[in-house]
Amino acid sequence: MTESTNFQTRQQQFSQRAYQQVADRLQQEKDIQEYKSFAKRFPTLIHTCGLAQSLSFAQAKGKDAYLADLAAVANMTSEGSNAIDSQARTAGLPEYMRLTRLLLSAANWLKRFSEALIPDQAEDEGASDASVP
Amino acid sequence: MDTPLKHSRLYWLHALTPVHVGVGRGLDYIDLPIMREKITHWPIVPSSAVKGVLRAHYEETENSLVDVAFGSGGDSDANAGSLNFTDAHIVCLPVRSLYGTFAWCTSPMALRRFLRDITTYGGDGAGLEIPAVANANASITSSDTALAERNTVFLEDLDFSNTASEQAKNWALYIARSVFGESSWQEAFVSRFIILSDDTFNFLCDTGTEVNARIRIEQETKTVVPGALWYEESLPAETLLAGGVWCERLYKGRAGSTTADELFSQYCCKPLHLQIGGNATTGQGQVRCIFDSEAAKP
Repeated sequence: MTESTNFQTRQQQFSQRAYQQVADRLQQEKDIQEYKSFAKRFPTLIHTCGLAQSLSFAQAKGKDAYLADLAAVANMTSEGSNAIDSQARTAGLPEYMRLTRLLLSAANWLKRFSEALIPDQAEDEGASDASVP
Repeated sequence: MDTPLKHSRLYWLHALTPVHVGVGRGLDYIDLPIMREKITHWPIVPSSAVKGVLRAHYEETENSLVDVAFGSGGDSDANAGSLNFTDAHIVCLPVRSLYGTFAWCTSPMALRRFLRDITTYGGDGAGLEIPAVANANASITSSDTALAERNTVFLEDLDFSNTASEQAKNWALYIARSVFGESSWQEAFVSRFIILSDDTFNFLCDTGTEVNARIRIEQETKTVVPGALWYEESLPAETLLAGGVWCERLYKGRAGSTTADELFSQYCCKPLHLQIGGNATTGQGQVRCIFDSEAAKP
């Protein structure tokens, strides 16, 4: 049964894809702690700096694996490898706002499953339930 | 026009520093988010916070009718408060601007709901009309506003063409007179007031709030405690929110010969400097609370 006929919520679909991407990444990625650290910071970066700037920052820092996962969770892989970045740069205002919300939501799921699936290391700096006051 | 509630008035909250009225632990990418209204997802300050802070203020300074106004607990002699507060809803969200430093942003739907509050709680909304604003456009008070340059307004990383409108100016003057006592602040507000489309305002209410990373330091090593980094959200300084307060009935057991007018003149009249929400020791939650200046309506 396809997703469209399964009447799943958007969040359910995002969570399924994010789970799969992070689970696969856990098997392949050498520096998985670095991936996790970036996944935890990226949604807040979009919030504080804006989508276009955040995507450029990720590209500049060589976070191609993360960006590929983000595109997969947002279901934008069929639009080409640079779809997210080019759309963020060229979209009109309403589309830019929609794209920001879409990718914030996708990034949030990547953060969640990075926290859930990738084990902590002692030097990892991410928030945990115990640390939030 | 709706009939105003008896014995009612508007109140304003003007954030002087960031305000964190939180919901506890969030499941989103922000660990400690602020409270939001369900149907709009716009930030609110809940009535319980407003009422509790007012009560605490008056308990320290004057308390002869505090129990009548705000209620009291106890097994045998409890009573409800005679003053009823609504949540404070957002009216203007400050957003970083390339010109004019920042803009006080609102939207047609935010104003439409606020106009209903003005009418309900006995304010004078004469001459206030709701403008239509298209996406990617903005309604400003005049062409020589502090925000516009070559007919464009730049907020955060969003660009808007703009149109000066009499409706925006009337709203700006109304809010400026209600909130800002000094004429220089009134002018500063009018020059930075802008009405955006509802969709854009929604977007800015989600992404235009302040989100700060906080850490805890290990005293021995002076480094971050492992895992002790979290993100918390605040309403930015200069946010304007408004709500209503009314007195439907007095709880006579304690009230004696007190009248609703007396309660209003004692507790809902003079401007107050209050601290509301969490993180007080880090300078958050400083607000001005301003009540509609007119006498309580009969």
